[in-house]
Amino acid sequence: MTGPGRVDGKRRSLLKAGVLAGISFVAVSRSTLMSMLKPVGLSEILGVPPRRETEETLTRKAEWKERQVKEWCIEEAEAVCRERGEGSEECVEARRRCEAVEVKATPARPGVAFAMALDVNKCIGCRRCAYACVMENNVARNNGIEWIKVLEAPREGEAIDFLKARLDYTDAPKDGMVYVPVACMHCENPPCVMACPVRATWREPDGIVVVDYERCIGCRYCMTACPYGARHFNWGVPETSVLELNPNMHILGNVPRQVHVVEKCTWCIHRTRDGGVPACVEVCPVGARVFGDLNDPESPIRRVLEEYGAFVLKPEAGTKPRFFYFFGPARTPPAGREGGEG
Amino acid sequence: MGLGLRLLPLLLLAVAALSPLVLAASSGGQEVYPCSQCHAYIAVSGQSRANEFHGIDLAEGAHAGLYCSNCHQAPQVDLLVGDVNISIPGLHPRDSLMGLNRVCASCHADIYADYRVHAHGNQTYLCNDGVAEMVEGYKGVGYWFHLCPEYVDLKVAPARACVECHNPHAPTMLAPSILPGPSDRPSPPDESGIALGGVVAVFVGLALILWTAPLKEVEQP
Repeated sequence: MTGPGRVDGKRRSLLKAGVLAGISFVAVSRSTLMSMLKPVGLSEILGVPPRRETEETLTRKAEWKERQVKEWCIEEAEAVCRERGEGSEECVEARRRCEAVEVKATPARPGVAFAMALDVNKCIGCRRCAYACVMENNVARNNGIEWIKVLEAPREGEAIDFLKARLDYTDAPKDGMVYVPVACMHCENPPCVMACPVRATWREPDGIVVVDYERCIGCRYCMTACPYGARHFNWGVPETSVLELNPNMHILGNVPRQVHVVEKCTWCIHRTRDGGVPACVEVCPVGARVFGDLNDPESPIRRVLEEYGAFVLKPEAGTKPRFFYFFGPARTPPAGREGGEG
Repeated sequence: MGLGLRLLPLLLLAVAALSPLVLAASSGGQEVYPCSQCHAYIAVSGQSRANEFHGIDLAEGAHAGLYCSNCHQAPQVDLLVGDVNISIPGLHPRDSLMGLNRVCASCHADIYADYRVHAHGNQTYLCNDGVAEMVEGYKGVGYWFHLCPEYVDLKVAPARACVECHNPHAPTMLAPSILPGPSDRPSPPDESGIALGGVVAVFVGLALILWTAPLKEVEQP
């Protein structure tokens, strides 16, 4: 029966054995597979410890960056003073902000695991979080970067149809729609970190995924790797007015960026590492966002997760996000505006 | 008295117009008009659901079905359940508004428990000698900056009292306005010059080859 293009018995059993071996390889436990898929760096082969900023080097870097930012700020402030006049309000304000600039290198507190949750029942899609984020994090105003994007998607029962999601809605809240703000998910298993060829991005012990802007080479591999579109690239030279500069800075967070580096949400590392709350949590007019330490049984995040449960975006990507969404207690939905502006 | 009653709606209007400013300024101020000033003469039982004069109708809204007496202790209407005092909306300091939370908590114990652990409503942070300053920023939208002498040892606190978001007589929150959508990234730089440069380079290269080729032929023999 053997002929051209046919498989004889011997080859057939050989193929079967091959397929069986393949299946048994795939069928090993997921964790084994994940450990096999872990990228192997030079450090592991040569026995060199992986690169991580020590507290000392980071502090030194922060001091250097503070001098640099202050120099730039004073230059800009002098330009403002020349333009608006020496005694003008803007001149005084610009100088005051330059003086207040403080670049911190606060390390992660041991035993802290940050997480954020968002009540999809509450969010009304007003985009105030995205705007506050831009201001708080000294994001360039000219590069069209907003770390938080709010999706409007139709709700079908217990499901959200993300295929019909859109960003450019002009009226909200609408009936039958849910609003899902998306930013960095601070994954436990971040694909962006694996993709970075120069180790310019890593996950801190408290769960915040950070970018070292000095080390980033702008290859944008991380942007391609991120399943959530959470990373943004400075295509042009970033421009921020010193009159709107946030003087509270962290070296791994909201220091003014240079051109051709990638940036992303850091859960306001300059606030949260020192005990504050992220700007988006503070500004939300309906209190939809909750932030806290997963290891602290008294924290708000623990309360909402235990009380209401949660879901994550793209669980199939295996990234294990630390940003949770939940449907909070059923409540009267926020009243829509009637008759146009109101 | 009659004049006072006629002026009262005007006063309420003025206060309503000022209220965003009042909410923004978290301290200072004075109480404007104690309820007992009128209700010493106008006795009420509290067993009603609507009051035309105050513009309150509890037949509608999320508090539909309640009576005035569910929150106000008649006949001194300015005494609320939980022994909290209230006067007609005026320049209330935030501390006194925070005191009103007890009234809400008497029914909404579960939500209040969420509020206490910062899982309901906004949170803010406090620093020593810090101030919040409004700056008009990104796309002309205002933002409150925290200006602290030092940004360390920050303390988290509820940002607002219950009544700063929820009108007790119509607690469903009104949705605020929607801000404009995200912008696109800037368009890439003009590349027509580069194309022109390419064409010029090709022609110059060709010219160079043609120019040097005869020379080589001459050199070879």
